[in-house]
Amino acid sequence: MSSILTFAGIALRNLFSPPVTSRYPFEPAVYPKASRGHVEINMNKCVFCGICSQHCPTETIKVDRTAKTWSMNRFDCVQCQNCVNVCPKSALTIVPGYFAPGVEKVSETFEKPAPLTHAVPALNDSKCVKCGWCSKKCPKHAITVVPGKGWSVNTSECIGCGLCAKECAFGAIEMEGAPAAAAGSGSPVAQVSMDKCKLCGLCAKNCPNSAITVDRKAKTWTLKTEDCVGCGVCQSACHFEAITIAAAPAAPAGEPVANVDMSKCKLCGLCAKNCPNEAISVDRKAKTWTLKAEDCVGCGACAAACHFDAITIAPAAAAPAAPAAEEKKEAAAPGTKVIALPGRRPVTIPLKADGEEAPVPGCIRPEYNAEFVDLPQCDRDKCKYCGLCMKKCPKSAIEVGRKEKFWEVDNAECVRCGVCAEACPFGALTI
Amino acid sequence: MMRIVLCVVYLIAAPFVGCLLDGCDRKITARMQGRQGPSVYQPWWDLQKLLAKERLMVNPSQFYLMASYTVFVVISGALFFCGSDLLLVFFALTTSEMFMVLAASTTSSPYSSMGANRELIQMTSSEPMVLLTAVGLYLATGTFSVAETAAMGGLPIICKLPGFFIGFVFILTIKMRKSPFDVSTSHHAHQEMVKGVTTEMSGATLACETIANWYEHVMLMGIIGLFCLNGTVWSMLLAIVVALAVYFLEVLIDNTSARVKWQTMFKLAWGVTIVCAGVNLFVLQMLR
Amino acid sequence: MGKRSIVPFGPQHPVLPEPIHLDLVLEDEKVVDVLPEIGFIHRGLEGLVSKRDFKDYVYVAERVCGICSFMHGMGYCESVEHGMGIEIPRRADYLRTIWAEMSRVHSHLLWLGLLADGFGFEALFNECWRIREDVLDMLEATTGGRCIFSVNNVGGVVRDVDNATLLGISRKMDEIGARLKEISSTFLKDYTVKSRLVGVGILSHEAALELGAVGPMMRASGWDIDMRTTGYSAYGDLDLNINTSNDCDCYARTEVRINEIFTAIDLIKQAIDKIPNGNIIVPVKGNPKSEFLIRLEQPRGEAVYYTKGNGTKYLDRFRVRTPTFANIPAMAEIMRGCEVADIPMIILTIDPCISCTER
Repeated sequence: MSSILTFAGIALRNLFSPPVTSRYPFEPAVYPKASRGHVEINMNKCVFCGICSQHCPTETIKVDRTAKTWSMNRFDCVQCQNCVNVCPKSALTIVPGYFAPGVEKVSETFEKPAPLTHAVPALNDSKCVKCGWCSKKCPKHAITVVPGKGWSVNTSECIGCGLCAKECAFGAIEMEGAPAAAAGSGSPVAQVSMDKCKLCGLCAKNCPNSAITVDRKAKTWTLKTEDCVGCGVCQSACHFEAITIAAAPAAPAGEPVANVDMSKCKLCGLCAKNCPNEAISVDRKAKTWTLKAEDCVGCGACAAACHFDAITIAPAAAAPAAPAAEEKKEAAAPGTKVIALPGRRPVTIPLKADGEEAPVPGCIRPEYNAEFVDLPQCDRDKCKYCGLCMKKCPKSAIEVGRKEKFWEVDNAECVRCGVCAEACPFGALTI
Repeated sequence: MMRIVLCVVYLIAAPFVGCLLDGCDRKITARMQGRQGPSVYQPWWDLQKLLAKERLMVNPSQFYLMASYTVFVVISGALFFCGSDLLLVFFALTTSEMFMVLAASTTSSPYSSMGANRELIQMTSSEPMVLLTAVGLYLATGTFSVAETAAMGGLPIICKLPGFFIGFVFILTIKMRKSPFDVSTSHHAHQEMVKGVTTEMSGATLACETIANWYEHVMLMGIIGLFCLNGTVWSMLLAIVVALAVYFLEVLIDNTSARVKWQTMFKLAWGVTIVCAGVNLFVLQMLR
Repeated sequence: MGKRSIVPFGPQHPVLPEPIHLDLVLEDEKVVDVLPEIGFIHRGLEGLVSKRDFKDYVYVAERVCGICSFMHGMGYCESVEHGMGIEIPRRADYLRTIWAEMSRVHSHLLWLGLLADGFGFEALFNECWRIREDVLDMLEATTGGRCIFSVNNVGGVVRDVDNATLLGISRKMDEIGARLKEISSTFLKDYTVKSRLVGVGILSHEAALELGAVGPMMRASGWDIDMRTTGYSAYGDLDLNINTSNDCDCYARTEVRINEIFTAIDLIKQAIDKIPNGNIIVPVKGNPKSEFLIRLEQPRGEAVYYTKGNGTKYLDRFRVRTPTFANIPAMAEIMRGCEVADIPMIILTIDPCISCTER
């Protein structure tokens, strides 16, 4: 039944095999890729919305919107990854490698870096053969290559077009630093003169950053300003001298903020509740949706919370729209300008954020649509009193009693949004 | 003359040999557990650190009692290596242990006192075999003198006293405070009585205990070696090999058994003593 | 009758994995009476529920304990999800089950190591933790954390594991099973180990029920009570073998826990075979309004989770009844009449998790 020295086999085997422990800290520890070590922040992406600091279980993150700083006491961080999960701008990541212990708790503060005007090429020396092709291709002659020996870039000349990286046959160059989107206002971008443009698309083909799209059918020439680095490759490619590199003709798009589509908005107020900076206020009586533009950081929490997809994050329109362009329906992506060529008549339409009428400040919601004027009606034959409508109602206006077979809607609370009718699995509700 | 030289060599070299043995013990133990383990010099550095510590004592008499413990261990070792009477050696060793018990009892710590109680039980378990070893050696050689026993010609005594040898190796586990019989104090303070007799010791007091342990281990290995000596050079080599093998066996047993309770230890020690030593004694008497 | 003395045991004592204080009334080495006392590491985590968004509180809930952490997060999420009527994706259920069972494996291996250390068998302790290290490596590779995973959230789990990795885990679990078999013979057959475990700390069949013991304590006294049979998460789809023993002593509790590791390995493999593809998390809209109580089987036994919402993003109340709390009366009972040397064995065989108990 019992025996002695049962462990001797394992002990002797261990004695004659190499030890399983490593000589840490003399040998570094190896962590798996998925390991949650410490939080890193990309300050170029951070919009200082403060959502991470609100959701941090240990309250270790502090965000200062006015000073534009993000700080964290790493000794309080529990590596739960919640900040990374909630960050609307994907500015936070959690990476392997634990923070080293210390004798006193210190807070680490990050500041928004001075906006880089452009990215700079960085060389992977092991891949580079010093052929000099990049130097020939550089539109600004910013790269010098001593064949077979050296490679250097003159960063003051470089405009970050990325052509060198694109042309390198060995993949030895990578663009590092801020994407051109951070260029900010006033940096020169490609301008087209639609009188001369034949919509041939050569510019689009040559653009190193695919910032230009040419749609021959719709007769549009579109530039993504945030991708354009003003390198001038398109200009030299154009056979018709239609393109010039100049500062953006109109005031550039401002910081992206929340825009509301009032035809979709039910004024339920979820966006206001979810806004981390209380930038939104919804007044149901006055039927207004108001955004304090100076408080909005464009984080998108309101858009995520909205049940009706009424909110988009886009640059604020500078002023109430000029005469609407015919391509009005094409929703404008942030920082996109559309220049249309209606009916072959060469017209240049000044840049503006396309789309809806100016939502800020204090949009007045149109009267309720006729079909939504009435309260939701319940067909008592179909209703199973399941209570789903009660759960789904954003205003908690419906009450359902399962046992009592009781269904009631509060007229004062109901915003006629129709969520209940959508939610009803039995089609018992109409609105 | 030879005796005096041996005695002096023991007094000077024993702590270093004991320290090295201890270091090898720790290294081998670590490797048996799959660990890297410390350097073999680690016990030496540990001792230096103990000596450098601030002297904090629960009771001033404790240090003197522990010093006496060390002195008596050294005396018994010196007596053994200068070839004196084996009975005298064993009595000096027992006396030293009494000082250890007294040192542990001077504090009012319950863990230390419980350790002292268990140390006494440990002595009760191991002493019969220790004394019987002396008796066995006398029956085989006709003398209690270590020097005469070692110089005795013919086959090594182990051939006549295999039972005594097994019994002595068995209680060696108790003497060396190795698992499964480390009930009064253990190498790691991971038992119910924290560290038993040495719970309340620190700094120089604990250093005394460490040094005494090194002297004691070397002497115990000497006794193991005595079983193999017959006055020739090859028997000396054999003695060293057997002593090292026994030391390795103790390390292996230490790593492959749980600490038993004192009742089990008492039963096992007396059982082995009676069976091994008793049968051997009976056979020896029959052969005379 | 000897002189009685009172020996303080803990909260800081080398054999104790966590701070609990015992006043031992001794007659020589015999324990006449024992007075347990807890309350050294109360952190007020339950109260924090009214200060944190209910979705962020998951990360606080799982920090109730460092070893059964995953199950605390899971218990909290399940109770909020049930209270809100959210049905989480099946894949998330299965992933939770796999991670829960992997935590059971690592928790039991940790415990086996501590037990080995308790009876002074350091090599065995190292061997147990060495096997446990492989489980922790797999957990770190799939969840990012070694003990605290932070993968649960209300509505599902936040990290997915691809099927190839799951198959790898299944294979690795076989290896772990084989190595565990090797060391289990030392636990169950070695003379010196048995001399410390057999007949020590007997909790009779009736006393176990009367004192409200839970988990392996209960099962080692012959009761086949296991909350996993209620079929929460994905357990309803898996074949569960409940390990019991009728010996009622420390040896029985060791045997039950060793067998539970094998069962857990089997459950992991079953779950990996059956795991469906699909989503891992559903968006949660709205705030919890109702109250809900759920019981889970933790490595240490049955744990009860209660949540009560009030329609805001802060819950009114969160309550955990941990298995250790339920086992402490039984522990104090079986300590009466034992020896000092048995104290570590008895404390360890309830697998105490004092930090859960005090929260």
